[in-house]
Amino acid sequence: MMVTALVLLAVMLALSVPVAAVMGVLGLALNQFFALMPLHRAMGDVAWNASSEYILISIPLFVMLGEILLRAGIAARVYAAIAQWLSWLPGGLMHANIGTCTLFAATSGSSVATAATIGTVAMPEIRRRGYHEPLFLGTIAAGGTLGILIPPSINFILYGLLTNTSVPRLYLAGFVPGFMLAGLFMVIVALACILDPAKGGQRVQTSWRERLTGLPTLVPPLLIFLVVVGSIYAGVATPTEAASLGVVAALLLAAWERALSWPMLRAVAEGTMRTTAMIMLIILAAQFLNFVLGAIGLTDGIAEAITGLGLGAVGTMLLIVVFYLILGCFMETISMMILTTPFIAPVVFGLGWDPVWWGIVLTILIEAALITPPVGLNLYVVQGLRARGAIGDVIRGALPFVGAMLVLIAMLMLLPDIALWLPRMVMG
Amino acid sequence: MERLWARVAVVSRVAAWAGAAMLLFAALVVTAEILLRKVVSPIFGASYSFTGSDEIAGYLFAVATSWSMAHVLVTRGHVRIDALYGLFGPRLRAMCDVAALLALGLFVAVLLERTGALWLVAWEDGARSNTTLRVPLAWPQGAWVAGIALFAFALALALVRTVGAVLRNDLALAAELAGASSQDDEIRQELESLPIAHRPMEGR
Repeated sequence: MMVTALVLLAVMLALSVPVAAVMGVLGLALNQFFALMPLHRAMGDVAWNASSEYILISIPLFVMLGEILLRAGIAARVYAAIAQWLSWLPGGLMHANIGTCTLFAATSGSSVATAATIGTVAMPEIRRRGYHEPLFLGTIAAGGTLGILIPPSINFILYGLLTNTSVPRLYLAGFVPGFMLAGLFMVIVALACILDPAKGGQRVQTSWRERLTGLPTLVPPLLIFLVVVGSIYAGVATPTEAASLGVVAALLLAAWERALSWPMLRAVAEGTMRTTAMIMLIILAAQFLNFVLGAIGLTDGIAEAITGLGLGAVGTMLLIVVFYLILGCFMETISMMILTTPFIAPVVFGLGWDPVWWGIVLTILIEAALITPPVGLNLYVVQGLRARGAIGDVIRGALPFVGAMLVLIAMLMLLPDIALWLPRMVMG
Repeated sequence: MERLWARVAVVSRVAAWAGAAMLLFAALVVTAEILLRKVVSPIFGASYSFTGSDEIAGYLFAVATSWSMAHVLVTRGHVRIDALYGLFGPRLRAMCDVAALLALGLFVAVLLERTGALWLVAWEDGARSNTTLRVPLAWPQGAWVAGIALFAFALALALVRTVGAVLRNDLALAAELAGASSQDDEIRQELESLPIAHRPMEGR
């Protein structure tokens, strides 16, 4: 049964069948061969329940929020304001890249869009100030990945749905590792520039006056962040309600910035719906596949097989981390998460790892997948913006940051409380 | 055939816009409910609230999503793992494209059949939601299934056209119709849609 499933999976993926169809057809085939009852008859109910699931509405709303915010035309000013505060560090504007990505990450939750927006604003500075190009590009590609670890993250909502884990808990758990990872990125840049000052480029001149006058620019994105994340914890709103508030707030901001126009709204609408329908079709298929896997007992079989290797909790976790690092080189990230979670998560939980903790570690692995070649979307976004030189520069520049992610995962394994402390403090 | 496809492309684009409008409306309704419940009611000391926004938002979400599915197909937005695909020649790629459409078609055909059956049962039984709103489920489900049907129709059309193109040995057309969009295409789309002006930082 397991062999059939794996062979089918491999063949369909190799033929580049769309991921949603891979999962759907796999579910149908397993049902045909191994189920005692015609499970496909339940597909209508499964699909309707997933389609009208209240918490999932937050996904398109967060996508929409990010789309509106990125099109509100505030990126350049936010970047300039953050540069005032961070560019005294060794590495100058590269810290501003990471800082701006963190801030946009905290409001939008889309990696590619974040990297694209910050990249466009930042890249002209490479030549103007003589930065080490690969490292500078690396900060943008890697900084863009912070979006999915710092709430509100779409990945956490999907993971929460697939594993029945509390999304607010996941959000809280993402804070400390998210900001730690941003900190680690900055440490890497600072170290590289202390060891080789030539990498750091020309100093940005600034004064306290300029720093303070830049501050009001940071208020709108921080405000939206507070509205979205704050309302969840204040108990005022569920993630879906918070996302709704965020969309309305972002629209008001865009109106204030005079960025609202029909072409802008059209772009927002098409971008949002394209992403949403694509993800939702995968989710419909995944929910059906989950249902079939559970009913025919394949989930238990895989868990037993992996436990049977006798590697223990830590050994198995290391194996799974390596598995994701390799898989992440070849697979698009959201589909990788949805496709593997039904198989892997039960194994992880069975070994005694905490579901919230694994949600965080998995998300960091997905971030790594975004910047590991040959299929690392953020690398190509940055290269696409640059439109000259070789992609090898971006890959080389991003590599140290993959190292930072691995360090963070090791720290999380040694000290799970990095993720679990905050949710425990706040929610008990 | 060409004209039919062009029409399907337009219809699915408009349906996606309608979907976005529904989502925006859902966001507004939900926001209004929170504000009434948490801000207006406490200030005026009375309960100016309405309930059921979560249920309505759920229906709007379901319909918005299914109405946008065809648009994803037309713009070739479905995620495909192209690690091997990228290495293939045009003929093998065209075969993969047909296989991809067939697999998607199989899944969507079953999905349409089952969701259609669900709707039919709701229609015949006059089933209503188990909430205070008591919404007749056939309405939101009917709109939802209609979106899936549009998707299935677009898919069937794409399959017929792609197979036709392959049989006529017109591999370029097949790739245009059903080829996996490369990362370059994806990124170009992403960049084109952002309001990005290439200019250096201000204020230095």
